[in-house]
Amino acid sequence: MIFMIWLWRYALGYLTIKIDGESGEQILNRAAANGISIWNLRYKNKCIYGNISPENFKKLRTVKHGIKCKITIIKKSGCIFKLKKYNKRFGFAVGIATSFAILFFLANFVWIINIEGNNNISADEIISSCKKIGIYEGMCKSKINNKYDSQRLQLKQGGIAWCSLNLEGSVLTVNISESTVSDKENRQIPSNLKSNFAGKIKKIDITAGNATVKVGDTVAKGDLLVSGVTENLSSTLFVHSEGIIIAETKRTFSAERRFTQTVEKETEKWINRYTLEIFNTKLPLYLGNIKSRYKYNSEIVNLTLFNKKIPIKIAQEKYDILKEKRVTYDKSSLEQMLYADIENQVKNYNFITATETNREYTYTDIGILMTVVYDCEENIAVQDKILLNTEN
Amino acid sequence: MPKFKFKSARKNKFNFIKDNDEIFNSEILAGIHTEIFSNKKIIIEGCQNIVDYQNDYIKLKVKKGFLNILGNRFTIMGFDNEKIIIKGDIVSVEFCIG
Repeated sequence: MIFMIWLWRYALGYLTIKIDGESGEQILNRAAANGISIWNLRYKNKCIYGNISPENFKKLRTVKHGIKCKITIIKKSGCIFKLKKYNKRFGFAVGIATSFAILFFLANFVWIINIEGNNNISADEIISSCKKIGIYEGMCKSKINNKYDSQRLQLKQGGIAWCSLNLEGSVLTVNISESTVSDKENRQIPSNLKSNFAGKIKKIDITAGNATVKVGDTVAKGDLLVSGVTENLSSTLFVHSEGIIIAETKRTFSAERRFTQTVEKETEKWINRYTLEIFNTKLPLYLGNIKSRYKYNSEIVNLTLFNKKIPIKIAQEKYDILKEKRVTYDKSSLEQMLYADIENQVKNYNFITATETNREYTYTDIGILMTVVYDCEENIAVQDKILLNTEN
Repeated sequence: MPKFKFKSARKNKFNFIKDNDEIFNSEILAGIHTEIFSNKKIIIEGCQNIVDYQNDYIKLKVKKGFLNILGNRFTIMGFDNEKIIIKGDIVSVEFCIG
């Protein structure tokens, strides 16, 4: 409260006055009686000093009649007196007017988009969906239609059960409520199970549909394993087939490498480059290109002011300089590398078991080709939709 | 036959006012209201005039008398509507009411 009073007095300006005379108290009494406020009164060198507003100072002069004392202004303080110095400077007034105009102009735009309520869907994903429907940082606030745009966002971004766009000043908050994921719809689609690889069936475990193969049967790629069509006496029923069909398969993996290879190695040199991003406009703070080979790494920092995001981002791009080096491998080390490559390939498949049965090396002048044959056990059943109501 | 009277519990409640009637004494309420914060600040409501103002002494005219304040470095923070706020090192406050 006291600070607000001080601020108000400072904004309107005040005078420091000196009341010189024997009956200075009478002036104070008259001032109080006439509602003239004088504050910070202090007695110094047989004079009374105090602060008064310019308006009250004029009143005080009229009230003073008949009292033998002298009132003089010692100092003028406050905004008004400081601005008076610049009243002849046209540019100053223009500057203030321009700054206010810019302030009001910029207040018409969305500066920041905040996402709230998301757990599984990332904020970046939602922001990119917002961008697709025409909501982005830097857009005009008046173009936002909460009801219409929230529905469009729900259609654009899957997994949202409810959403609302709330505008507070220049900050747009997108409140969302995520829908619970269910595969109920998928389960309603009629489908068959087909083979994705040739093999001999070892085990059948079906929860829906009719098996068309038996244990011990040999199937080729694309053969029907479980049918989703059930025929009764009077009707035909389509079901979503579900189950696991484990088969013995024979898989061949191969890898090739050269004796002499060009390897990129990291040097201890790196170059940092910064880019300023204002309202999706990128301003590079550097010149020239990097001609050598590099590994790129970037980090974006959103600047904040009083713990609030502002639409200015700084992207730090780190370029680790790479150096090409020619390396020559001997036969055994190359074979080990090839085997590691093949093992990585095998890991990408979800085999139940994989037993190596044959390994072949083909040596050429420039490198080695390795071929490995595996006896595997795997689930070969894959879903295949039954097409209904097709024009064909 | 004498009338039987219940002793009302409500009446007892108002005994508080009877016992503490000094609080509601109009004479007290009509006088000046003084608040002293440590020996650094004094607020006086009911100050009619400043009779004397010096660095170490202030004499105020209040209803039915005077109030003398002795001390050092007195600053009058504000004086309007018969309310005066004085800051400084207060040594004594003397009522001269007669």
